[in-house]
Amino acid sequence: MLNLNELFRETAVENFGMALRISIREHQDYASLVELKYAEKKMQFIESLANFLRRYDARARAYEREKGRIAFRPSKEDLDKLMELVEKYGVKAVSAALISHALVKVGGGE
Amino acid sequence: MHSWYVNKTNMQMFDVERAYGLALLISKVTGSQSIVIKDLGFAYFIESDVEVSDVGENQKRDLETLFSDSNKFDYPLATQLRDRKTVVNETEKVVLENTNEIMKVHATPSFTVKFSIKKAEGLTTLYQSLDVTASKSFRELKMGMSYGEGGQLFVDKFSFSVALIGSAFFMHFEPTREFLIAIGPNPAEINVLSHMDIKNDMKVEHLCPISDLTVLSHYAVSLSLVLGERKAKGVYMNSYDCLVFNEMRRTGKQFKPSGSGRFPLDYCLHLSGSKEGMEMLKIVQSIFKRGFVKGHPQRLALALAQFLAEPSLDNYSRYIDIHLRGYIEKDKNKRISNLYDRASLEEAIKYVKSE
Repeated sequence: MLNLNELFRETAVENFGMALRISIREHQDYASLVELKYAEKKMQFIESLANFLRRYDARARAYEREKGRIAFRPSKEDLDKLMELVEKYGVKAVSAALISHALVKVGGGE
Repeated sequence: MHSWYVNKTNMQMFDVERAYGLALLISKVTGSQSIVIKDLGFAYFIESDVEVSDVGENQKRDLETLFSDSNKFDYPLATQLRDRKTVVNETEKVVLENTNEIMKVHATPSFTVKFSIKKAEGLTTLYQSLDVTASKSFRELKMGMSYGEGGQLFVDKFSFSVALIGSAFFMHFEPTREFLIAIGPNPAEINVLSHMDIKNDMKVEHLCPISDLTVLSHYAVSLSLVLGERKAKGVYMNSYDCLVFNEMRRTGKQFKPSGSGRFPLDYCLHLSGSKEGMEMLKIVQSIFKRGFVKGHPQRLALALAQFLAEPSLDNYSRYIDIHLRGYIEKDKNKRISNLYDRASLEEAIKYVKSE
């Protein structure tokens, strides 16, 4: 049985959630939010995640160029784990957990 | 201990009103501080530590105070436009002249409400403002071939009087431009005095009026917040299992019956059990308070009400999505600026039901 709370606490969901939070709250990445929200099947989810990562990577590279610091990026392991979770719990639950992270208060800068 | 029973009739609002009304009468007559109402399923069970003695002058004066403010009966008699005062006076007369008899008939579980679809001696109109079911009562067979819409329901004067008092003193009425809704928590097991304290502590002056569901959800959140605060202080806990509501729609100058039923409290009560959950409830309350703002705040309040009524994954997804869209809204007046503490959000999603 799904426990959204446990899903929310998964490291992979946390890392992708943090990336989504930065994208949406600091760069108004509305497109990623819409795509993730409306993905119903696994393939649609993979496609929307790929689009999100492409946009996120472009912004991360720009940040690194400007600030000379390494930007946060979810790892390959995070991606594999996320896909595992999608397989286990379904697209809707995983995207709800990801979007929830975008509304969490953060103490310091990200 | 001394006990009384309020047998249920399947008219939920009418039953709750009678239970509260009788408990109030008992407290006035006995002067007891410890009146308890319990929901036994088939009936409400009322208990007092003081016996009912014969009603003397002091108790009569106490009972008279129930009727001193006639405005209290405006909403419970909202559909009675012409003779509201007469109805209140008649109720006062019934209560003052028959207090002992009312107590006596409720002392055993054998007393049942007398219903009729025809007006008769000893019966009085049960207004839809007390229970909407009463205005269309039972369907009637026409020529043995088809059913006709039912007519007005009449009940015995004791039951009506007790219900009217219960409605006037224990129900919350929320009038909006489109509807009038009466809400009361169903007493699973409560102390009436504590209930009055809880009622006074609740902030329900401006419930989110955009739909009946938002009014009910906002009320549920206010109640849960007060119960949570009392629990944290270790004050005697009253236990409620749901809200009972009765709704009428405005059509020109008249009210039409709209609906009645129960609103679940489980999710809000789960949240009120922890500090993090209480923080979440405070955010929820602030979202309802801004529900009058068109655009994202209004949409969010509606989605939130739906989620509180049925905390499913679908409803949660819709709610969180609207919240995030509202957060990145450019128009400052329509923006939703609330964010969640991680712990509060974790507590909130702990109770989301999976498919």
